[in-house]
Amino acid sequence: MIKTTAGKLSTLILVISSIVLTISIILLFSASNKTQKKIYVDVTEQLQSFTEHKLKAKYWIGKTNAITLASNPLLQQAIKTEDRELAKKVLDNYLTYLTKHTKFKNIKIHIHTKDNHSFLRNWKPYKYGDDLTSFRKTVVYVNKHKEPITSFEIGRAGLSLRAVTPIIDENGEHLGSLEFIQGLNSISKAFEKEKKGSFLLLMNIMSRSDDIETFESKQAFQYKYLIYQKYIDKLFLESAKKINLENIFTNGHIFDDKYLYTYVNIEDFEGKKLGIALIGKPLTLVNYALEDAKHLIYLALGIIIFMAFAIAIFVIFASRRIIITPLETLQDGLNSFFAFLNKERRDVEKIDEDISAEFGKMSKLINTNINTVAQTLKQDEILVQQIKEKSQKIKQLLDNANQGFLYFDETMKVGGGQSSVTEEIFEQEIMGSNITHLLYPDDVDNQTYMEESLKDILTMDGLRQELMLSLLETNFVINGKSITVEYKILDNNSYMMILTDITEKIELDEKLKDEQQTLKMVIEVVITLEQFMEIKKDYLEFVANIENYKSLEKLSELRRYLHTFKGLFAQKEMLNIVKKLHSFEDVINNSIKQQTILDELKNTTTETMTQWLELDLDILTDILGDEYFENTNSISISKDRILLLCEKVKDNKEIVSEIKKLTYHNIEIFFRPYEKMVKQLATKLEKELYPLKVVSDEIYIQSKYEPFLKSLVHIFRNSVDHGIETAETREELGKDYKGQISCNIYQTKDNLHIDIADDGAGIDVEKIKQMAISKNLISENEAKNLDEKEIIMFIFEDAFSTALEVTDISGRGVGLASLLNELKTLNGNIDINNNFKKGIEFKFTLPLDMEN
Amino acid sequence: MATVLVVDDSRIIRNGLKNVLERLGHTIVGEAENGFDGVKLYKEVYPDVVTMDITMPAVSGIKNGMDAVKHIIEFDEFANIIMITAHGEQQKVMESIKNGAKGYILKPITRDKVRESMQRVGFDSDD
Repeated sequence: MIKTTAGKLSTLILVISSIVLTISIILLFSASNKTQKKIYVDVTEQLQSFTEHKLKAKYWIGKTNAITLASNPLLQQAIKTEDRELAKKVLDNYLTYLTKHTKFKNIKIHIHTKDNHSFLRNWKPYKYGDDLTSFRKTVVYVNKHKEPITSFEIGRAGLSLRAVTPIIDENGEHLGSLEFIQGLNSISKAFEKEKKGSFLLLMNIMSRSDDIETFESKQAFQYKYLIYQKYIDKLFLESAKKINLENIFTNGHIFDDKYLYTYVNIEDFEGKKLGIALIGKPLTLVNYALEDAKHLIYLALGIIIFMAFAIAIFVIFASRRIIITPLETLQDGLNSFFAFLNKERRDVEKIDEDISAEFGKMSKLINTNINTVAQTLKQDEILVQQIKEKSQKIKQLLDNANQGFLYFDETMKVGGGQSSVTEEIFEQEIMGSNITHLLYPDDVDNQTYMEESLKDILTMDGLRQELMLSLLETNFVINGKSITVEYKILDNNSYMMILTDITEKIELDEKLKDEQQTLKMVIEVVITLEQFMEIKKDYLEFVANIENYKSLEKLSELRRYLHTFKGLFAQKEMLNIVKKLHSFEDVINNSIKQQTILDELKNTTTETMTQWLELDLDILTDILGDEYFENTNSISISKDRILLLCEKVKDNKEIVSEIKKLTYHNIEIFFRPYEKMVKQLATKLEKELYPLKVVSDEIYIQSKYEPFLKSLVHIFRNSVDHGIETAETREELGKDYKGQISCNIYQTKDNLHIDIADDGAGIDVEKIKQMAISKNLISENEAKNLDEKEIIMFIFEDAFSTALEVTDISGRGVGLASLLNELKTLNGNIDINNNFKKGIEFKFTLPLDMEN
Repeated sequence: MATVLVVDDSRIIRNGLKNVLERLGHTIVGEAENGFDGVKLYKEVYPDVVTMDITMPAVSGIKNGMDAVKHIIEFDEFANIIMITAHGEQQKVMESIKNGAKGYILKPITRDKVRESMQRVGFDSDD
């Protein structure tokens, strides 16, 4: 293929020239053919008209001479007197004179009588008197109509042109007729002389008269004709003998390699065909004109070819000058510009704008842009440099920030350019490795799944990509390090992954959490020091007596204690002991084999259980100092000492009452820890809660109420854990998404009332019933007779739990049992307002000592 | 403000979504408790948005929420489907998004999450 513009242009021009040439040649040849045909027709017509012209001349000559002779008085007299001698003399004189002074040499004159008999033939004077009626139609016609006629006719002497005229004397008497006979040799000679061609008179054999003299047979021409002419062009005759006469009659003319042939019909006066005059012209003469025409045509062709090539060459050169050269200039200019753009050159030259009008404009336009681009490029270069520096800085930053990054595309193969941290994370060369294998080294399922997902994401639109990316796993453990990753899609066909080593952060977080936890514990203990000391004392007492509970019969009692202490210590944020108590509880509650329980009991001694508490106590004393629990800023007086005091001043009622009041507490202080506990518990369980609302009259109570008030922890726990629904469930139920637990404390006459209510789920009574039945606490029949409160009371039974999942917060079913136990100790009552799905209210009523 | 079709086998979740969506100013035009009814209802009510639970009982050949997504997208490739999903269902959510879902809400359902998801598929909410 030709690719250059110049090449294409030249090819195009050559193609056009060739087409023009071909068309010209075809047109010229067809013209030349037409010319040949036309010339042949013309020559044919010339030959025919020349022949006819000559024949016509002979007609008139014959007629004129015949009439002249017929009016000769001497001749008329000779006929009247039948004086053939005289008649012959007249004719001879006339003919002698005629031959002497004209070209007519072969003239015969024949005089007939008025009854169509021969009177005198000048060429055969001795032969006369024969009757001509049978074969001389012209003679008969003239004698009959008494008017002259000229016609070809075959007589005894053969085919001749005969002018016959009547002989009528001055008195109008019809004497006979006179015939002037001419041969056609003179026409043949005229053809030759005037270089018109050749002439040959042929008589049709069919029309010949029987008594034509026999010599004529030697003149036979192609069987059908006899040559009836003495003066013959031999060469013409030789060629003519070979032609097919039929073709002449069809086409009007034919030609062979020597002559062009045509003919003229020879007819008598009645239109009967007697023969033809075959006429021909040598082709050399005919083609003379044709050759002229052809020369002209060839000359024209030559000129056209020359012109076509000249134009083609001119256009090619012109186009080179007008288009190619400017284009090349433009190309060179652009090349240098692009070289500059590609930074292969330092500077850029402008393109010559003089190259040609249009290209000049173009160059001007490009030049303007070259300036702008060159400037922009320089600015870009500065920018790129700045960006490079910045990226370098960022890379350095990332290298030092426990954050690595890497790239990979749809092949999942990690590409180059990752940061040094990335290599530290993977502890190996990762370039070219499959990213999913790096993230899940031994997990083929996850490798496959992740690879599929990552590939799929690349085929999605932006919105979906974002959604899908948010669903990809972001936390991995690589070589024991905790790594979080962030995915970014670059240019829609590759990923950038940012990896952050959060191992230290997690460790720090945990440490921080521990510290916070410790701090919480310390604060809690300091704030409620008195309470804490009480719990501690109670616990140590319980632990001291632990051997008393180490039997299967005492197991439920032990569980209650453990559970209560667990809750109390949890309230004080003492998580170490809570954990220990929980696992102990776990073994004795959930072990299937009794032996396991017994072994656990055996191994858990006073000493071990004291150590559990000391774990937290050590932390506390570390922070608060050894003396804290003995020497606090507040005045701490032991209760025993107060009681002793009371004994001492028992006579003074007023003083006793006041002193005793020292041992009394405002009931409210027992609920203050619950406010905090509820809040923390809600956070831990991801529940939304308003702060616990405690509304209390100012009521001072004796210490005997304390165990009960402490056991209320189970009500609050249950309320937060099971009562209050999750925020979304609350939303779905049309409730305020935050739950509310409220506590109302008041006094009526002799009674202390504590109402604890929440707006949570309430209790599914039917479910409790089914569980009670399934735990064989009651039979189905018994269940039918129980009212709602009676059924709800099952939750206060040992080992009854509605929670499906046991947590370290609630759900063991022992908490509420211990509460009920304490309530009974104080002769208290419980009333329950249950509203399934809307909330529940526990109303506790306790008799107040009149001492208050 | 959009018309919404809620498809979820849990009545509680349906009610919850309904409350949240209505409070955000949207109109619930249908509820279905399985994928089959959901697809059927979609063709009837032609809602602006569908919320689709991922895990639902199979009904009449529609195996679950992912399957329902496929059918709805077949019917209307521009359907706005938001998947309702729980923790640990990431793979199913990705599958649904591949099938044509436009968003997802991770339980627990909150007003903010619903508002954001509706915004993502092009519908503003009140307050």
